[in-house]
Amino acid sequence: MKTEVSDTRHQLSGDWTIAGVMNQIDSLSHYLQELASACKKRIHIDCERIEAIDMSGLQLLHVWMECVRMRGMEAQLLNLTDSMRQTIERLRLGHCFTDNSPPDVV
Amino acid sequence: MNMQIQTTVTAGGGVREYLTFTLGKEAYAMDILKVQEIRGYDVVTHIANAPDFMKGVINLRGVIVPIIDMRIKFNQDTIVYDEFTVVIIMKVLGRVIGMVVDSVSDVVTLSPDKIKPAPEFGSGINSEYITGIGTSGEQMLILVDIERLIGSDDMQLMAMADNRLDMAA
Amino acid sequence: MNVDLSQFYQVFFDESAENLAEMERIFLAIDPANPDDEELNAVFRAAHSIKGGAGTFGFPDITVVTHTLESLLDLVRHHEIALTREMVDVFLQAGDAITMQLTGHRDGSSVDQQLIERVCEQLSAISGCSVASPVTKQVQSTSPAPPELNAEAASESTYRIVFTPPHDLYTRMVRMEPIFEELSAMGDFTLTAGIEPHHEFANYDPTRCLAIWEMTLTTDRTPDDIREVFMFVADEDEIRIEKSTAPAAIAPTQGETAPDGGAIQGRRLYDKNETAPGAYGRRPGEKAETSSIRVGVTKVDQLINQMGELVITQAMLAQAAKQLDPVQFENLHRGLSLLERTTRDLQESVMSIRMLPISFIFNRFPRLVRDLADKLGKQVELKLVGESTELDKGLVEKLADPLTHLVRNSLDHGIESPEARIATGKSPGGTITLKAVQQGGRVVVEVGDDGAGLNRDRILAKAAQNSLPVSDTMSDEEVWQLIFAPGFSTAEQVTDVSGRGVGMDVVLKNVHAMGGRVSIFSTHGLGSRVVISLPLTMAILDGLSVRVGNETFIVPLNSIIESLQPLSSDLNEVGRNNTTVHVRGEYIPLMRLGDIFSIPGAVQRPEEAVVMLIEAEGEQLALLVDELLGQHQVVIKSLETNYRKVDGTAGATILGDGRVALILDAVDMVRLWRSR
Repeated sequence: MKTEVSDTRHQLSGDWTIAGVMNQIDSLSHYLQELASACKKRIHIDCERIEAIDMSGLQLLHVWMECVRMRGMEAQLLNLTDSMRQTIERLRLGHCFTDNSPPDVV
Repeated sequence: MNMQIQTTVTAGGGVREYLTFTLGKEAYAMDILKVQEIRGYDVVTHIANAPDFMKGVINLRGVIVPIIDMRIKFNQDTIVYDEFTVVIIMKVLGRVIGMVVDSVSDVVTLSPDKIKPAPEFGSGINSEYITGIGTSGEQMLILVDIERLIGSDDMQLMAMADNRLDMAA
Repeated sequence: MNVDLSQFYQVFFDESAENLAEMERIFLAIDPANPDDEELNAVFRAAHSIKGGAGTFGFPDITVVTHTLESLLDLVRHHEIALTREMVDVFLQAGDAITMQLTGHRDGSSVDQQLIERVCEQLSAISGCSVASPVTKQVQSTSPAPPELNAEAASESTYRIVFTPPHDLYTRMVRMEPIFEELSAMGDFTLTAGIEPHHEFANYDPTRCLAIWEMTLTTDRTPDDIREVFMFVADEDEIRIEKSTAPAAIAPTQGETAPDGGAIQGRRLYDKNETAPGAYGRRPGEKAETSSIRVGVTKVDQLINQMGELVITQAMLAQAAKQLDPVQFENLHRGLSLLERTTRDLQESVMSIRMLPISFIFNRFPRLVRDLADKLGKQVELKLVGESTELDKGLVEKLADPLTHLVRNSLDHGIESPEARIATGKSPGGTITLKAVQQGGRVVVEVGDDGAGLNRDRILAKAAQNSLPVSDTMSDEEVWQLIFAPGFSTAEQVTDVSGRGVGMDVVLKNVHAMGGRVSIFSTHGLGSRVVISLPLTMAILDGLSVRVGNETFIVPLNSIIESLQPLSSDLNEVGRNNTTVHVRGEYIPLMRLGDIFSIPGAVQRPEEAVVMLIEAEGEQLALLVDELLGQHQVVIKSLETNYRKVDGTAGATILGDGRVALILDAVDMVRLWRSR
């Protein structure tokens, strides 16, 4: 089931493997700064366009989401691809990405 | 300079660019792709037992490059080394070699229809190193196969020919 | 994963090559009747390491062969099957097969699958269990060790394993999934992962691994077996294995020392307690490996070039400062002299980076000699002397081919068959000696044999046949030089070993290209020696600059005995080209550089000039120069790159004022004197 949200959505995309993680930093940083000035309670992180992700990418995502939480916001992952789910499962990182709050319904 | 640059490409070959230079009274042209740079004539370290047209070697930004004087090779009468003397630094047969000439002119573009086969003639350069006669505007240019020339045995640039020293001068 | 892994393969290829070389070395030296336990462990380790890497990087074909080999070696090292010479031969061939597979992956070269299959068949024949070759069966890249080969059938225990990976785990392209799969195949396996907290996004480095994995495994395998799964991935201190039943919280600290036994920081797992005699995989008494890093050759070359430019620049400064008053500019002079010393030290250090022990090439010969001697039906022992002698990496690589040719020559034409040797009263087995030693500023490498020696008459006959100028009065030395002529081969039968293609002329050319020279010594019936002398380093030289007329030459310092200004009474002139200088009771022949190099204006009278005594090839000569200019370190620039070898010189250099100066070659001078 695909979830659509509007302005609280941040789209992730591209190469989230060790080859591409460095290229993701800038936009993630930028968005963090934007969030600081905005007043959102929760953001949705859309993973649909992530082409590939490995342990380093998952680590990056986790660290980033932690930083979002440190700013007092909730972060929720949406639209994970099958392969991303499988990777998280194989590496037993599921518990790093769960969010206790109930999902939004749009 | 009133040459026309031909843009039509004939079958079997295209347009090429040549560096023109003079040796004595003749104007020559060589493949521009083999030219690395053009310099003045500076201090040269002499190499003993080399042919007289082999002036010696120079330091080209840390690399040792031999300098040959084509004017001597072609038996010209008056040979001077002054501030107008030009050295063409070429990259030929995997080596960097400098060639002293009288002067360097333009880079011309010649299409195959501007090139005629070379007649046998005796001045200067041996005809086996000439690939043709090119016409650029009103000028006749002798097209030189510079690789064949540099690589030939009598240039003694490639190893093999004996260059042993002698006890006596 | 959408990543180009090829840049990381190289480390795997390099390390596997080293492992294969080590395996070969051990197999060649091992005594099947009484094999050394450490050596058996070492080859097992090597095979295991290659297998692990092949799995991590996804080369299933290599995994299969190495896995089979490793299993067999495991049996051998546990003394469950006895080692025989035939088995060693098969192991050597297995090593060749793996090398071929590796090269196939690395260079795209063709791989003889039939050979691989044959090797697998032979290996399986030994162990008695059938093995699927990579051609006929799809194999997963990480197949766990078959439990029937594990001799220790201990009862099950539960272990808690905490893995704190090194920070570069991601950049080393390590995939954890295959490791977890292998562990889960060993028994009951649970896995929990955690990521170290990091709250400052601004300085976060995503390539740095912050993950920790905690696992429990209930298995009948030993902790050693568990550690071996991580072998390619982790160091000793990054894995903690405890016997336990209760799971515990993940402790996010990096680099804890393992509680179980003597962990040494940063050592590979198998070097658990390397200082103990007979330690697993380590020879007793061998000193611990000094740590090293891999550096690309291009980087080193770049460093050397820049070092060379620094030397030239420093020379320029020294030159420019010469004109400055020493008192007024005392500080400057002091600084420059310090600079010279530091530059010299730096240069020595940089040059030493490129130095490799010659054992790098010597190491190929035991195998080559063994195989070739067998093929030719000869008995040959190979002696290696001075393997630790170091020379420049560039030379080591270029020396390999000429040396190989010379060794093949000795095997093919030098050493006689056992029957022929007995007939002449020799022992049936011959000896080939490879020797390397540093002498003066050069490295001397020698290939010698106690075979039949060169046949003077046959060489003269062949030379005459080839229209080379010969005469019966030629000295032996001159006759031996004839075999350097192109196309020369007196072998009656052109064997495919050495008689075709590569001739001694190519050897000579290759050696000359390195700035070296070749000499041949031979005694009929007793043997021959080919001696190659090479410059120690290719790049920098200590020299004395001298002036002859208006030209400057550099004379290598290690050729110079002394310099002096002779008195007329010391000179003895018997004709112009026959002057000798009397020095300490000896009469040394004088050579006038001005004449030899055709330099006008050189000083003619020795008593007004300077005489330099040089030595080369055991002879002394006196060179006449106008003036000594100074001592320098010079960067050797090649003349051959764009021109050719100039007789009398060993390259050129660029002086402080930018001019080119030729570097004098003492040996050329001596040869010139001899040939007059």
